[in-house]
Amino acid sequence: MADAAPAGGRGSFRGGFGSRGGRGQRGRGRGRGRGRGRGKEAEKEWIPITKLGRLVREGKIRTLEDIYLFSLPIKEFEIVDFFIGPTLKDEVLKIMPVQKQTRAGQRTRFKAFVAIGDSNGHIGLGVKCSKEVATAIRGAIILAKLSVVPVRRGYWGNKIGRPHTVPCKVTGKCGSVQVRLIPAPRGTGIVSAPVPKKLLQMAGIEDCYTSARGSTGTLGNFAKATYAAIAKTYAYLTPDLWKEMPLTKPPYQEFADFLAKTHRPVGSQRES
Amino acid sequence: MEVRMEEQNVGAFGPLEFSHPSENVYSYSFRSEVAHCLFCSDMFKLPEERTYFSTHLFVHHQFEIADMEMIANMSKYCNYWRSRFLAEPPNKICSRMLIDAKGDGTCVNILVLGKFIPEDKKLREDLHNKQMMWVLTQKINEREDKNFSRKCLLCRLQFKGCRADYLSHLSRLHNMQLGQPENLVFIDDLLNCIETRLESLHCLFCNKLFKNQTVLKEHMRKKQHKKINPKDTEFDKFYIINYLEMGKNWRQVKNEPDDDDDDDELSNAENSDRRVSVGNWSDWEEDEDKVENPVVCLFCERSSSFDEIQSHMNNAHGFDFTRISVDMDFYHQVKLVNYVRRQVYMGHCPYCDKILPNRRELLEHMSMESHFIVPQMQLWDQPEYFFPTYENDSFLCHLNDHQDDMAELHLSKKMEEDCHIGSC
Repeated sequence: MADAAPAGGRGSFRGGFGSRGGRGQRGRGRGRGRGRGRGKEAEKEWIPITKLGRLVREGKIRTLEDIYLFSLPIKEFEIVDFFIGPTLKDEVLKIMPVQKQTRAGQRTRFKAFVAIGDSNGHIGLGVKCSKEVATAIRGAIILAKLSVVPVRRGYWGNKIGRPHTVPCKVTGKCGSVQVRLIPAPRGTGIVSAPVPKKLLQMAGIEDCYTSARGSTGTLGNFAKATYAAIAKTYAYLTPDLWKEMPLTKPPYQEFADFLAKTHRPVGSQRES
Repeated sequence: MEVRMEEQNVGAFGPLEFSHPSENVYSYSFRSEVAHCLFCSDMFKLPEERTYFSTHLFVHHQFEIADMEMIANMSKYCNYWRSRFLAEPPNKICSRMLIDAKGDGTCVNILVLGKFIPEDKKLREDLHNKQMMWVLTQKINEREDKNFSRKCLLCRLQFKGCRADYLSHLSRLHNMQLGQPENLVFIDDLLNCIETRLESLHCLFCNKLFKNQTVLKEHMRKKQHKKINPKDTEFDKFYIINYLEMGKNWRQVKNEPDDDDDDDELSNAENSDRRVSVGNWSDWEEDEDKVENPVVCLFCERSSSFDEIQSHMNNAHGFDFTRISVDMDFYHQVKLVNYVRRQVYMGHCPYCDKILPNRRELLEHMSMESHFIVPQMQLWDQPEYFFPTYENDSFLCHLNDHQDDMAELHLSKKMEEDCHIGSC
């Protein structure tokens, strides 16, 4: 009990992120205590603002893969968090200072490059610039979650055990860098430079050869090219996918009634 | 560069490693750095003796360094100018100022070194950038290090894990708010600093002395002093935001408008993934002094970039890899490389399998017998050579997959067209 937050008087500090601005910096250390609350993890409840978000929240969509099946754009990171949040691990690839010329002189900011993946079929990349490292990292993680794509794994030879390598040769390009992923037999491991190796591991690919061309010194483009190559694994129509499958209804159509029923246009709430 | 052996027995052949020379870490110490005077042999410990240093410069050498406290690394700064002034007299570089120090009308000529001199400005900026890169590298290392172990400052828990969890334990259980873990650096030093304060029975925030631990804890709880005083400059060096801009402390940086942080990402239109923009990644470039992923020659120990190694192998060993691999598919190239590497490592000639006692004799034998050619296929076209002989063998990452290149190019063009149609 001796350590718990004292009740009473300063209670007005509690309760969220809005009050801080009014009180200024006093009694807040360096003002960097935001997000930690008063010894509680202040988890804000998610109010979805897109149709897809609403469907996900109500549990109408079973898996993340249903969203990928119809190539629906994901605009809220909570959607990704809802399905695979706990298994996603983020990794900060680089934090670097960047400078911009403004009227008032040079302005330096921190830029954080983040990769996110669950080592089992999902990978995302994000970058964010900010004055504080924590804000940059947090923003980059959110953008990385928004960019998560599914990764298709396949076999090199015998189809025994779990898929472990890329299903076919795929190439990704970004800037002048071209990265090619080539299937490898089980046990080869990932044969590549450190940056793509990290991404391939986070994507869940166990064995792979890589071949890189162009100015691979531009690590940013190198990483993006690897990400593009990994994303192509599901874009490539291999013969085993040639079988005709019956078309299913996209979620917006299937749950159209639900969406119409619960639709509350912004602004109408104020009038009552 | 040597080759280290992981395992050697006849049956299983473990992966080998190239050991590249490790990069030297830019050393910067928080413990007092020592600065040499620019003109005489006096030494000063900074930051404690900063005022003595500047007085010494003023009185003994009629010299002044403007904004001394903003210089990132005083000892390097002083060493630089010290050697500069040996080559060129200071009055040619520095500006002159007339100062009335005594207040009685007699003026003294003072030489001043400051940011208005381009060379000095550049030096300061370089030192500042180096310091910032060092701090950020340290930050990333601390963030990834999962082997952190320390006893909690306020309870008896022995903590093991990563630093961010330690800090969130302090914040959740003990209500000690030090700030977001991502904004802190040199966390071990920070915790040591706090620990010494608490053990000497001083309050963390107001620095008042108390009789014993219990009274101290009660005071900190009641007054909510379990945090760092923003005015306490001793803790400035633990917050990354203070390293951001030269000369600006965190208050000034915070007050700047936050608006155009997103300009870079949104304005960049070129990105290969059409569905989602992952932002502008092109400014992340490798350090210039480091050769990215050096490629090691198949026969000797030379390491360099891939193109250079290819021409080296052609000139020094007569082994034209480009010509040899032109009609080999990717997998065959991989097997050949791994086979040659293993043979060379074990001291066997790749072509005739003759055993030589050391590398030098092996190379001699191969050049005398002209054995720098492709061995018979059944020797190396075996499944065991799919597995890389060396860990992180960059040679394998540069192999060209020519046969499929033309087909791939045509296919990717077609796929891009289809994607355009699909997404509109």
